[in-house]
Amino acid sequence: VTHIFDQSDASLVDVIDNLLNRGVVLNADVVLALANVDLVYLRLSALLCAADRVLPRGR
Amino acid sequence: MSALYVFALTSGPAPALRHANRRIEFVEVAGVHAAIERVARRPEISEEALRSQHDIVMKIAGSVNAILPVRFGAFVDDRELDTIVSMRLGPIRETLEKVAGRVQMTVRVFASGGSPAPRAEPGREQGSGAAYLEKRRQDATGVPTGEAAAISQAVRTLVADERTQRGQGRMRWTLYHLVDRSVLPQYERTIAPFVSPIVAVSGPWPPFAFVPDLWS
Repeated sequence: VTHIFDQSDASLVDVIDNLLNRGVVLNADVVLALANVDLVYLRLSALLCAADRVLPRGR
Repeated sequence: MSALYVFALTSGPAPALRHANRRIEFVEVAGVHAAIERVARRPEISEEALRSQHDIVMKIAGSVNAILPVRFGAFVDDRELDTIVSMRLGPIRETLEKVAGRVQMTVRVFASGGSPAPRAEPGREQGSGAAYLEKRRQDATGVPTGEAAAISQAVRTLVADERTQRGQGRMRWTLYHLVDRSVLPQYERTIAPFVSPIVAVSGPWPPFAFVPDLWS
């Protein structure tokens, strides 16, 4: 298997597309801003975890 | 709790590997495995950091049968990783099965010289949230045209799945093909005649474009 990937030569376009546009999003940090002032910083993974605890089972 | 930088989710473990002075190990998470590095802080984004992560993911892909690469910046603690994977275990397992033994090929189709992609309708460039969502829908469901359609048709029987992305500017389309390793030579022979100044093919890559959306 290794040799299959050894053939590949990644351009910067490939690297950026693969790692910044694709791939599993495990955590996502969002800053809600108004007039260039950061208002709220949300860590979506933390939000998801919290929702899991709040929502009743089966939903 | 321990801070982890996650490179990929995999169907099974592999021996720890080294890249430069970094040690990548495989840990079990909710029944699947994650290729991780124990680090103190999130890496700063730079071309060097991106290239290093890309090289590491390629190494990991070479040592396992099924891999779901993780986007740059996945700095989590072990409890957080376990929670996220546990909550989306179904789609993760399904996708690992789907990509097992397969690789991604990327085909980029550009406009021929002097013909930029059509502009958005006047007044819709900034648009409302609805306009943005409509564009996202079109991007997700767009049917390739022209050279991209011809390529898509030519490799139709050789790909397990295809994702398409409408481009901007000179980039008209990007096609992502999920290809069985066993038919990769045939795929490459079939697509070779299309390669030109306006068609670029790269790969094989781990299946970056075929990962599940864990946030929906």
